[in-house]
Amino acid sequence: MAGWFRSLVRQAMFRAHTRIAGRPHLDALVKQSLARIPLLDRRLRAAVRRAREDRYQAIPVRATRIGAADLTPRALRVYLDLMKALKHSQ
Amino acid sequence: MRIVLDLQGAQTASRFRGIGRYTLALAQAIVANRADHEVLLALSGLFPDTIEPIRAAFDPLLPQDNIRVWLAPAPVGVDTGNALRRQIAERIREAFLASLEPDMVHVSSLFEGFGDDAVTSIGVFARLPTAVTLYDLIPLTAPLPHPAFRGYYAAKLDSFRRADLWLGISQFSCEEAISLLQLEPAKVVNIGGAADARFKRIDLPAAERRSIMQAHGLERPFICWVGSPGEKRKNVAGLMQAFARLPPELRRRFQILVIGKTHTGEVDGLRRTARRFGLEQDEVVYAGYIDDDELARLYNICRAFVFPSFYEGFGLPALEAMQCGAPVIASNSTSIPEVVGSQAALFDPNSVDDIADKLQRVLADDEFRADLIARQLQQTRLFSWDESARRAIKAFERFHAAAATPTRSTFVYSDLITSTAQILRKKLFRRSAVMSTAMAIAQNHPEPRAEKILFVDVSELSQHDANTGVQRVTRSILKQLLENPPAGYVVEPVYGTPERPGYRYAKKFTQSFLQLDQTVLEERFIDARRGDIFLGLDLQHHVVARNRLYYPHLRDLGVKIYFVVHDLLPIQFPDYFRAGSTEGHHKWLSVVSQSDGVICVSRTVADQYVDWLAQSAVSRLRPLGIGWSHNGADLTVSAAHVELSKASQAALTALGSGPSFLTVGTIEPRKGHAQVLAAFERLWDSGQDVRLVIVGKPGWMVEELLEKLRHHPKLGSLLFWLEDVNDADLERIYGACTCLIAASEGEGFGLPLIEAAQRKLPILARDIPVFREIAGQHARFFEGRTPEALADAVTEWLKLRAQNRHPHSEGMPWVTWAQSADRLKAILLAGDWYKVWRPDGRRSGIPNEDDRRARAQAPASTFSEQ
Repeated sequence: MAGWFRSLVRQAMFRAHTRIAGRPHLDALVKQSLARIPLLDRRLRAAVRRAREDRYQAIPVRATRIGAADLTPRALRVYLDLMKALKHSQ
Repeated sequence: MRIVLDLQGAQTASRFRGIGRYTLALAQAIVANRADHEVLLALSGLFPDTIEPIRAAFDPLLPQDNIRVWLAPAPVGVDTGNALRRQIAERIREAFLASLEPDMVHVSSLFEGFGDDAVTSIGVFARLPTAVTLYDLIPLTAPLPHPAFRGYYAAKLDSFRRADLWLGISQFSCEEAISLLQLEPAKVVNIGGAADARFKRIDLPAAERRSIMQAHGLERPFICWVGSPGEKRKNVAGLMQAFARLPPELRRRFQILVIGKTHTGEVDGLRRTARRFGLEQDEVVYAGYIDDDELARLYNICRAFVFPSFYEGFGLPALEAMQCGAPVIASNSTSIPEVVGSQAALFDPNSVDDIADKLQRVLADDEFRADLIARQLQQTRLFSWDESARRAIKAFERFHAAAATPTRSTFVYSDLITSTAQILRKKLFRRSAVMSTAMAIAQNHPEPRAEKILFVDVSELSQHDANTGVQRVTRSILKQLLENPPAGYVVEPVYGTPERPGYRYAKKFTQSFLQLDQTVLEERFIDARRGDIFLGLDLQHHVVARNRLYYPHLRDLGVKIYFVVHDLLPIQFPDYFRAGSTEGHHKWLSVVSQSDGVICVSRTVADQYVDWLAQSAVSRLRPLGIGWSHNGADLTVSAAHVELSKASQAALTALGSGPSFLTVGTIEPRKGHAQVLAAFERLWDSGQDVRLVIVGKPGWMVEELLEKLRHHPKLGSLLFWLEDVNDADLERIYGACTCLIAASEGEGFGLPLIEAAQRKLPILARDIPVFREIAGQHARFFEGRTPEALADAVTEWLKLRAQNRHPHSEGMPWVTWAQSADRLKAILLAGDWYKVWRPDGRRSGIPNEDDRRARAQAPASTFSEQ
């Protein structure tokens, strides 16, 4: 499984667990359902990935892979200020 | 006073529950009762789906400019790996709130953020006067077993205690908080709550009642229960058990309707519970989540509403049901008696017998039932959002007046940098973390600038100038906007690419366009902020499609988005375009329709777009402005070439003195060239001395016609085809011809008609709406798609001309590009719309998926003329 997908499953399990804590029959049901996730159709997974990337890239602070080229001029200045502050705080 | 309302309670998953409703309704009432106070709403950009619905819910109650959106690095939910990011986000949020210089911050729901991206804290970065809504302390009195949640809740309680003012939703919640958290009683204020006004008595005809019941699988009169069925404190099991104890003849007459969002497997669990108590499968019906309008209808037709909860902070469903005239019997614990009022309606939720007794009475005793309804309707008058809001505002005012030196909080940029750097250091300088933090800070605290920016999309033009009609418009309007920007704005050409969402400054293009000689090092993504405008002037379907989520992001931040619609031709004439064009145009229009306004190049296109909207499944929450502005027609602005080409020179010489008819436009099926050529072949066959001059590049799907033109026996004598004509050539050709034939079956604008009129060239045009709009009485119109029809129209026109009775094109009104740009600016800045599309059935609540689906299916829209 790709890293992002594994992370998605982990988050789903965690959230499900917080909801169903103390209810073992539901816990088992969720685990059963999660076990089927790797069987998801490859196209579906690709669609989910595309949707996720689109969504995250459209909202820059959520982008999965941020590089200096993604920064706006203002963000670049803030980034440089942060780097300066980081060096001072060392 | 400047009051800032943090509305994350209406953004997280709480929006589907009572907290979300409470948050939104109280905020709306505070806004409505704000008097001289200034109210700002602070929304988290980490819940993008909720921002537009909230904006819509406050439109027009509050200026949209008073709704501010902040961003923070995400994800921040309670999960491994998020802890430091959450700390950064808390500081960023508090810094943002401080930058609004509030006299009072109201946090609608502090206990958000476990499992989602809500960011709530008090006093970790800024000392802001803060009031918090106090719903209940359920996790404190009945702790959940999950250790992570316990730790999370304890941290939230620390923040909670740091608040300056607590607004309880009931007397019970106030007293409980004072007792358990040792809060200062004077700072705990009961502001109460209320139910939405849509929960009211509705006179439903018997047929509609039956239909509602059928839709939910109900066969008999029913008892209504509302809540989260999975929560034990809601005690749905108590109701089931009590129902099972009813006398069989009474029980047979009724069903239980369980309403509330259930998680996977929960319904199966509830069915097992019901079976355990001896209930048949058909005695309990599970409706799942139901929208408020439907819920109100169900309250109106239920036999009774039962509220057996062990613990409530308020008890909203009981009040909603009472407002709808349902007799309510309810638990006598916690806050519920405050809401229900009548002692006769209360039972002990721990006693199944007590519940069963009261249930039997409300189902069987009509007098008791009628008395309950009357008393409870009276009781509902004690609750109103306006009253709650007035109490909240009064509490804010008292706090503000009591403050020793009421000074507004201020934001210091360097403090935020230092504070976040201290946390980032713990992340061992991960550059991506620093960058996402920088992005959020940059967005929340843009550099002050005197002027706003009008971003103009030149995605196609900046890549390559194919000199198409659309690009001609883009170039001409851009030139005008750059030379005469709207007051208070600077104009920035920008471009997007299909590779990823976002727009970059088109620095290289702009320097070349303005013929500036400077070196451009880089073209970064744009810094857009509240008050800026994005104008989608250029047409590049795939770039717009790629940015379908980026535009809403900009709108969320307060940037206005507008698009220019040049035409709907691929939709109107799917057969005349290559495969995929129609679908692509539909998709493009769907994205465009989610903007703030659409400016069409003619009234005809605006009307066609309105028709498209009415037929499309476009769903939106706020009105959409639709305007139109004619393209300019002053050739000199666009003319880049001055020399007459040899080919044009030769054609003009060969034209001779006979009547010559001119067509101008790319050769493509829609333009009607085939009909024109066939008509002229008939005229030539009948011996008429007429010439046909075709000016236009070869287009698509006309290979046969092009072949015919290239080898036509009359080519060079009576037929002339000029493929590559510059503006100077065109000027001369217009001057040398006798009549313009505009045979196109569909156009967005119809520039050749104006160009002809400018040269006093008479016009014979197909009778289509846009040509009528442009030419009016200054052209003669023809109908029919056969060669004979057009040949007859030409012959008739020649006869009229011989008698000088043909329509003259002089005096046809047209605008310059400067006037066109001025009109565009008036629409963008003054909202001078032709029509406004108002989605019907808009509601004040935040829609969920069901609502969105329902809206998509409903023909729910109206247009109003402006």
